[in-house]
Amino acid sequence: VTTGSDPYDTRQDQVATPDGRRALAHSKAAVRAFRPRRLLPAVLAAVVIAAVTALAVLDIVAAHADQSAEILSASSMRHFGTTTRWDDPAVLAIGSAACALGLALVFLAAWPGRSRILPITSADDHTVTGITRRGLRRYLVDAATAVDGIDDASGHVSRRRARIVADSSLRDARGLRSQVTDAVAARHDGLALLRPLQLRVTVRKRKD
Amino acid sequence: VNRRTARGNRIGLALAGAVLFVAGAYALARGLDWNSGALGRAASQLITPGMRHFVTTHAAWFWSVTAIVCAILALLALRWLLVQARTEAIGTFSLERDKRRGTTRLPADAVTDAFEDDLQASLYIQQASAVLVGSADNPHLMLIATLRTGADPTDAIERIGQALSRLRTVLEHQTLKATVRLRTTSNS
Repeated sequence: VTTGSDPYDTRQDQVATPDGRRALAHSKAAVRAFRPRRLLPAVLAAVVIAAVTALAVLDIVAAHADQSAEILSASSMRHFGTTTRWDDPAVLAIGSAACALGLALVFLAAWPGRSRILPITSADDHTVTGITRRGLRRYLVDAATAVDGIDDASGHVSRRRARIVADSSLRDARGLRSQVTDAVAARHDGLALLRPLQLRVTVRKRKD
Repeated sequence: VNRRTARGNRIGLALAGAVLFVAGAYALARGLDWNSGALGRAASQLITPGMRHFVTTHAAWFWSVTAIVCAILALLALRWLLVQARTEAIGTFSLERDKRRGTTRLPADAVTDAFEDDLQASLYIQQASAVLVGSADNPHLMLIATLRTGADPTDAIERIGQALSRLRTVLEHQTLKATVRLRTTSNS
């Protein structure tokens, strides 16, 4: 009876070597380090929950001290509750809204999210490095503008793709696209992103 | 916001979302009369006379319990809100990590200020903001480095690596963990 990994599975071997395991752990740590913190939805949810529950407490205490005191207008809520049926359109609307909002919150919690930072391969096991997508975009756009014959360039960097659009006023722009692609690719490759981007370069001919 | 807060945020959002979803799904299912046997009739009121009777006969403890539960939820939500501001920055750094030989503690600010100055003296980095988080014995350096206009990030990364290695040597802590975020200035 054999236990453990299949000796012929080279893919497992790669991960099973100490170096491979360390590299894998390191890249996972890098991706995790730059995951969105869900700050804004958490703050909003906390504020809403705190406000509603605190008001309810105040309301109950106020009503206990003075029968006529009302903060949340409990009597109108009681009126709504005692006169409205479950199949009332208002109840169905509130139910749908709660369902949708609940799903959205669960989705925000479960989905890793799009990080604004792209992790970079690090030579040092104890350091995790990343660059903002905006910073990378500017770096790649600069490479395109540095090519002779290119007047201006713009770009967009997502988690998987970098798209660079360069403008040229040269009459003969043949070969320019491969030059720009080479320049952009050299910078992109030099940076050694943990997940290399798909590069797409377009050269537009500027009208005189 | 540190990583522990980030995990807390996801757990909090998942819980709040699950409660909202279940409540909303119940209201929808009942209102659309999907399973009146188990859920109750769609044609009945939200608050039935039976429920009102129950509340009025048990008013003494019912409202107290409701108030206490709401107060606990309010406090939990407030705590959730407050931890968002938590940076977990540590005040001191242990220089000698072998406890048998005693410990020398250094203000964390002194460590990070020197590191920031080292980086800001370089051609590539306009601004560096470093903070030590974690614990005095097992710190983690968090760095946000703003590149100078036109600076090459690969050069900046190399420079940061050198500064980090100097820092590790000075602190006699070769395994000091670091998280580095590179950004560019916001103009242009």
